[in-house]
Amino acid sequence: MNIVNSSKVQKKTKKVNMIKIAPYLFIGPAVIYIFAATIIPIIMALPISFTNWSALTPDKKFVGIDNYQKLIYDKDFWNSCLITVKFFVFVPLVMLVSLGTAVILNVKLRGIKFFRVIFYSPVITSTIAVALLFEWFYQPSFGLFNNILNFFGLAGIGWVNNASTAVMSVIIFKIWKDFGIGMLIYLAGLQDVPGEIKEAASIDGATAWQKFIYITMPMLRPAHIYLLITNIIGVFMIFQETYMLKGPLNSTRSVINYIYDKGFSSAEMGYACAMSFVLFLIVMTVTLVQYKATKMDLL
Amino acid sequence: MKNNNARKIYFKIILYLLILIITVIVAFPFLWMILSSFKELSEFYNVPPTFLPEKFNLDNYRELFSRGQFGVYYLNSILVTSIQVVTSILIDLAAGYGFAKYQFKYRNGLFLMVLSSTMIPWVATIIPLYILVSNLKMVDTYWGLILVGMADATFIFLARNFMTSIPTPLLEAARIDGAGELTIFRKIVIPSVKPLIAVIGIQKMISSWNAFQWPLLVVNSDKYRTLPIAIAKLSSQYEDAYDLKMAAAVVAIVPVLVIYILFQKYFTEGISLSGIK
Amino acid sequence: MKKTCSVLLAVIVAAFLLTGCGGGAPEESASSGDSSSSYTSEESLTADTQKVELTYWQHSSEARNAMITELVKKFQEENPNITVHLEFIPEDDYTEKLIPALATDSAPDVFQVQSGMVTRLAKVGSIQPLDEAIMPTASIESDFIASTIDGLKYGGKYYGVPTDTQSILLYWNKDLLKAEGLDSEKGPQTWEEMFEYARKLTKTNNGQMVQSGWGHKGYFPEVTSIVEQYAGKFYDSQSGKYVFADDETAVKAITDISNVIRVDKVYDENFMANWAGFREGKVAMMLGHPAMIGNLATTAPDINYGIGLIPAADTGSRSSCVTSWGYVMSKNAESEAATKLIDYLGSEEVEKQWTLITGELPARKALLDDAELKADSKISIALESLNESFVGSLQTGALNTIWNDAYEKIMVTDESLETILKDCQDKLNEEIAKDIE
Repeated sequence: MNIVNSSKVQKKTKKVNMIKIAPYLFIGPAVIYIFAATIIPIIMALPISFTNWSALTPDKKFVGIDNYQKLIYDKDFWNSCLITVKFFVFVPLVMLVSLGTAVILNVKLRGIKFFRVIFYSPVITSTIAVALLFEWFYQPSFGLFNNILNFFGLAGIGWVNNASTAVMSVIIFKIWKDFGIGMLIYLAGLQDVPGEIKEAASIDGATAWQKFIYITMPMLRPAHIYLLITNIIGVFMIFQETYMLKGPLNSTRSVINYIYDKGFSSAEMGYACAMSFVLFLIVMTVTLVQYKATKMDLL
Repeated sequence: MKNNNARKIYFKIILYLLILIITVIVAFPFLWMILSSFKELSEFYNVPPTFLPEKFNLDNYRELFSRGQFGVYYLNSILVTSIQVVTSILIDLAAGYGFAKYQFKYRNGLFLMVLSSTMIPWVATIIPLYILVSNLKMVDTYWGLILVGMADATFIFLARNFMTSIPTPLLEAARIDGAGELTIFRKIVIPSVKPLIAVIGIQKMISSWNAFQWPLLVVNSDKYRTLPIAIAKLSSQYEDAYDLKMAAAVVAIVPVLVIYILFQKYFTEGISLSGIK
Repeated sequence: MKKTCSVLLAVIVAAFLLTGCGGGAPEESASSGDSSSSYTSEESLTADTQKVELTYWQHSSEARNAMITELVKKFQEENPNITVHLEFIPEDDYTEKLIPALATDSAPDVFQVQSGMVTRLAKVGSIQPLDEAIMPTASIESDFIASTIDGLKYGGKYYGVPTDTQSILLYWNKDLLKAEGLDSEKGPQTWEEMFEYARKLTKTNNGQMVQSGWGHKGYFPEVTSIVEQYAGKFYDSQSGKYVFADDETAVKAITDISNVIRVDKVYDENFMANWAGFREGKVAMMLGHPAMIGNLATTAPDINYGIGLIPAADTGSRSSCVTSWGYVMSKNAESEAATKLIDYLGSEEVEKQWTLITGELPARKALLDDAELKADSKISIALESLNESFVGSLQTGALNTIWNDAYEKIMVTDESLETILKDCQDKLNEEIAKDIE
């Protein structure tokens, strides 16, 4: 408002200054936020991981690499890593389901858009809330799934209540919840496949299956790569699903669940930070290797 | 030719059948959830289970909102979500614009920082972040709940990519006409990126509404709980209270589903905006 | 490049400072710095004495919450200068919230904590002793039942008063027992009978459980009670170590009780949650705390159940494990006001009401023979259970988790009991050793 009343000369110098300052004002809040909420914490994690900070030792002491040594011998930690590895079965499965539904929805039929809306709907719902539903579906004695199995004369299974089927049950739930993301991405890719190429292939006598394998699939490469990376990271980060659907004998306790338990249930902050730092390095490495292997540019 | 036609019809039938099956798999749980929320607890133990409630009653909802204080959780969720949607739109758009349309010192470095922050897994930061927030005495306050999640690096990235397409001459012309930087942003930039605003707004709304990990840590007392936390805790508070759980799930899911169906095109647009195919 | 380096360095230094300031910064009153707690009651405004605000945490249950809100209102009327902010945190969540708060020095002023934690917290200085002027040591010792205050003393001073005192009682569904022709008025009297009843009351259909005889999940106080009754040794207080896996009698007791699951299969985790099943009339018997009296009154008012003492062993012992929590105050709390609140919460008047409404046991000697309490048949049985009782040796969240994990293994795997117990014992000893170093 002052600018309006000031003289023309002043106005001009002010403007030049503004152009220099303005970008910092625009990006300022975001940069400060990301700095405070992500960068500072990740840097803080390192010094904390060298202390014995816990509820029973609030006056933390520097203990060097003790926590990292402890981690090597912590059976529970490695067990939770193993469980996380089991969850990787999810990645190819969900990509297959996403691709399948995308191919089906790519056909021109009446009302097909309506189904796209429906198929995507689990994605936008709260994992926690739908986990309550599945908790009930999976209930071995009264739940829906075993009732359906019994109806067809099959014996019910323990689902989440059985250590050997718990991981599988969580994966089924997660596929139901997440396949819509991949579906939309594949669908966008499929719609970019030019019709002429396919037509030309048809004339050459290619079957539908051949066209799909040799024309469509390579065209979907960027989608494959993107989904592969995000899903792998997603599996590393699995938490809410296993927080709600807990199998017996810690059979669904993922790395994150374990870190969370250590960090907050027993408040071994130092140790938990050491574990999360190791996990951070693993995830970063995997991501970078993937980017490198798939020759995708970081920016 | 005839043979071909028959095959086409055959193909179409199979396709519709497949679509129908997937629709049932996807939509049935929601339907089941809504119907079950009107059942009495004892009905959940029926073998075989009943699809329609034997006795249609609203007791579960009544109980949620009286005994379980779901009204409070609901208001908290609405409060946190609406504030975070507004701050996220403002902060992310401004930053995207700054990165896209200005030349300044450290631009690439700062942008790289924003970008690389998306690759840091939340678990690596969450313990120090908790300690930080705790030192600021913001554990178990609205501040702690709202501040974390005010902006998102992915949306900044999205906004920056989208805004590079705004023609620079348009902005220059406005500058020559004497418009201030903020005016340009408000009067020229914002109106031209409405779809972007819609995409960020709606996606942020969904993610705020469903946010779980951070609220789980930062909220202790009942009065600051948001819906997902309250729902997760139903399990421990009421054991096998499936009737209440179903009603709670309805309460959390249905509003989101309605908004999703009303604004569904912005969900698909988000995918194409981000340029991932 | 140089600049980036120096910026990075500055950030790292800042991070160190940030992490370092957690323990150092002293605070007079925890609530004074908390700008967000704007809530003040009218009473405190009218008082001209120095105003004190206290935050108070307790693990919640419906019966408790309503009652404590009422009681604290009364306390505030009596002490107009003190405002209490109540927080009720679900039991499952409680440790998960309290422990990080303690680690980051942001614990509430007055809170409940499992009695096993009290000495550990006192040792590291997270909590402070009670104000002698208000609660003298001598009167604590003369007023409270010894087994409930044993764990609350450190360095000759009391750090808290007991609350949430629990023994183990037997609950049974009268209708289900009657249907089997079993004694539905007295219930099983010995463990032999208990096992027998449980077998008879378990029903399956096509190999699937439709009724469970006894919802036994190896809850620690149940198991340690039978060990004690058999005269086995669970914990050796002299060495401060768990010894049950090496004690033949203890192993025998645990074998007997776990055989109801391993051999008789009277309960199946696939069936339904045990107390939920009891409420639905699908689980016939349960062992549990007296607090379930209050709980069942609100959650399952229609169920026709009987209540009795824990079954007896061949030794004739009917001993029941007693667990309790303590009311303590954080090191940052205003000592006088906090002790006043604790004194009030542990007073005879409050404990009596507490027992009447929730069924939880009093810790004051005077209340054991209280006529009004004894008039209630259920509560009188609960009081009676204290006559023959001992203090539980597993009273922290971390220890409980280890025990529960081990018992889950007993229930769902075929691994030999001895190995599981041995492994569990090692883990428990490792956990308590953290304290000693």
